[in-house]
Amino acid sequence: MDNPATSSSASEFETLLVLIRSRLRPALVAKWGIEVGTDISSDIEEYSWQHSDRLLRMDNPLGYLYRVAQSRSRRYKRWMNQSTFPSKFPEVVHEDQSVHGVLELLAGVTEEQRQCILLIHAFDWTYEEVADLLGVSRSVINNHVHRGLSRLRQESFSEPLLKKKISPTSQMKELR
Amino acid sequence: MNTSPLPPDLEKVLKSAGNFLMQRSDEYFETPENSFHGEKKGFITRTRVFALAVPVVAIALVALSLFTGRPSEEIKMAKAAWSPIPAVLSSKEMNDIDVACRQKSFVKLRSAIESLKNEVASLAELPPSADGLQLNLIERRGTTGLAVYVVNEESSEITASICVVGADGTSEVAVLAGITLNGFFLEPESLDEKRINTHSITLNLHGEMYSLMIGQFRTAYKFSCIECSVVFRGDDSDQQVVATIAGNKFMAWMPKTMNYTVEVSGADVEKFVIGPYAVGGAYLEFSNSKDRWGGVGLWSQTTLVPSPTVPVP
Repeated sequence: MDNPATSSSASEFETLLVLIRSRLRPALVAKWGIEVGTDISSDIEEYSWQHSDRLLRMDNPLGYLYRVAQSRSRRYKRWMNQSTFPSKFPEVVHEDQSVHGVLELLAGVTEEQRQCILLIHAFDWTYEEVADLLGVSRSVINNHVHRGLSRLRQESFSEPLLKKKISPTSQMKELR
Repeated sequence: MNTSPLPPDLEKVLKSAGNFLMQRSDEYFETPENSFHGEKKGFITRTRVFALAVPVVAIALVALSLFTGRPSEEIKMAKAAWSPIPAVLSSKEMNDIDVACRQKSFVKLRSAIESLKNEVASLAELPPSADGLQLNLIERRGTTGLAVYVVNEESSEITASICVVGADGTSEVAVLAGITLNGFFLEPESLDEKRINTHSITLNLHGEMYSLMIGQFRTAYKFSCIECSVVFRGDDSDQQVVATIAGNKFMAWMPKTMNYTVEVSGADVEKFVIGPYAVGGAYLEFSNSKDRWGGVGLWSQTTLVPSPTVPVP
């Protein structure tokens, strides 16, 4: 017969794993793109397994794990100073032109703005939930969302430097 | 706080984009062999980057030494009231500028805060009197003095007054209400992070247009750029415009509106050049060497037309 305490913590850990996949991974993918976000999410699952005892005692384990993810992200970004959103692979496009377009525009805003916009407007998180995860105030989230959306709405993306930045896939095409 | 709803079509497209991302993430999660990031590949990438970086850095250093060795008088600025290097002010001169600006700045700030307090959530409260205003930056270029008072510098959206003092001692004040200098999210474990934010303003003085850049270093952790120097360089010249630095804030202004680069150097920061940046409308990120991430933001172009007469109570 299972020790009830062990069984209980195993169940709690499974719940944490579900939360990592359903809540943390979207946040990481929104910030760093499909491959890097998913890889970091896998790293985080491994980290959680190694530090489950400590994590299960925390009030906000996802918030803590998000900070771990930020640290882990550096080794993905350090030697590749380039956008990894929406994908490392330029052939990853969406057949719907409007979705593809918005992904390219999202690649042009800052990581934090993109993350907040997607979590709130694509994944239906509340501002409080995003603030809890990122460990910042609600007003900071509001600023990121507001500025990010303002940039998405801007029609005058004619500034050449900005144009290059918002269109990584077209940049790669130009290089070819 | 502004939480205006999105238009339905953008909301719908964003949801589709989110679904697409998670669908591809699930597929990628199930087939981890697609991962581009591995220890071996990381090593190869690092080796390649290092091999490329060495000659590039060497060339950049040679180019930089050539640039910094040039005389700076190639551009003849038409406006005698301006100088690329701020004057060293005596305490009396500083006091004169402060006296000419403080009361007017207080009145203008009070008026701006009262008119905007319902629109901007994080506007600060003024001190009870003009004496309580914090003088953050003060300088003089040529015959024109300039003073900046920031009300709520700890907030993410600051409110500041910019006061210009002419050669005849008359002053003009304009207020920036709710602008964002602290626009960056500072990651909690980034102890080495060094960030700079600037705000670019077009200043209209007696019908002549100037570019004014006001910015600050992020000093949340151990980065204090007290010994730094900041210079702005216009895009059509290599003349340096030396910024005035006080605490974590800096300021410079140029006698016309133009694109510019920002060059930062100092004892505790490796010299780096960022830009060029156009005045107005753009937000760009940069990274300097050693993986230190930073950013320069030009969130908006604000045209200030100081009113010549400000009632002083």
